[in-house]
Amino acid sequence: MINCAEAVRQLWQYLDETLKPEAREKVGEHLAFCRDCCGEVEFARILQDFLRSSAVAEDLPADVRARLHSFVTGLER
Amino acid sequence: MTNSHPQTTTGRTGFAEAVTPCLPRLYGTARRLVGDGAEDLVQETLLRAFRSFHQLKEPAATAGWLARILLNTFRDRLRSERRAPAEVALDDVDDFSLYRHIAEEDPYPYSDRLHLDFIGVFGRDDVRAVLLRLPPIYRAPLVLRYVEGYSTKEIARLLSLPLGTVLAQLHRGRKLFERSLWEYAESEGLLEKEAVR
Repeated sequence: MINCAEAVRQLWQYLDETLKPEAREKVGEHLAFCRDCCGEVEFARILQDFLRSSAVAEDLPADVRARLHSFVTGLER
Repeated sequence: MTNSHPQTTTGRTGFAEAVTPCLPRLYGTARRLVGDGAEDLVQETLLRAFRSFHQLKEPAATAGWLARILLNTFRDRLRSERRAPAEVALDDVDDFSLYRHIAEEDPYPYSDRLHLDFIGVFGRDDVRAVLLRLPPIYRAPLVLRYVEGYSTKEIARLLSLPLGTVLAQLHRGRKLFERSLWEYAESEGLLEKEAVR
């Protein structure tokens, strides 16, 4: 059975499903009885959602838009 | 086979029309990857894209095509930065747990949702600022995986790195991100009681 430090080290990969089956099983076994690490995994999920939510489309500042547009049209000339 | 773009002697007519709608997304990705150097990165991307525009056969694929060129351009820049020493302490970061650190430090003693309250004080600009505190070699896989949504295999291909290297950089990047969130919250006064509404 792996300890908390080993489990925590692999939690994001566990959520990402990038662990090898054997390692995934060991983390799953640990989570089945460790309440602290269940809190860790929930928090890791929150952090992932938090990062994902930062991907909302950003406004292209007007001055940047103008310069990029000028750059693009300049290429075609 | 016919090319979907109107052709001239250079085959580049319609470039501006094709790429202009993609600029906000492209710039957003560049901002998350390099911060203030985003405009420069996008310009270099557009220059490369213009040179190979004749290879783009399907207009509907323009956004993905531009994103790949942006990442190739970024990867080329990253290669030189990999040779530079890391600017942050990495020695003890691998075992850092933000979850436990928040519980131990208990920044909002009257909160019954401590961890959510901690995350709740960060705005979009704060997230970007925290990401930009990370060394580029750790920031890039983190942004590509969790913000842009690429798989780890795609990241390995896009950055021309072995999958194991990407996984190791992701691990360290996540831990650095956790630690940087805490440090940023401390330095910006987000841990004060008034910050939680």
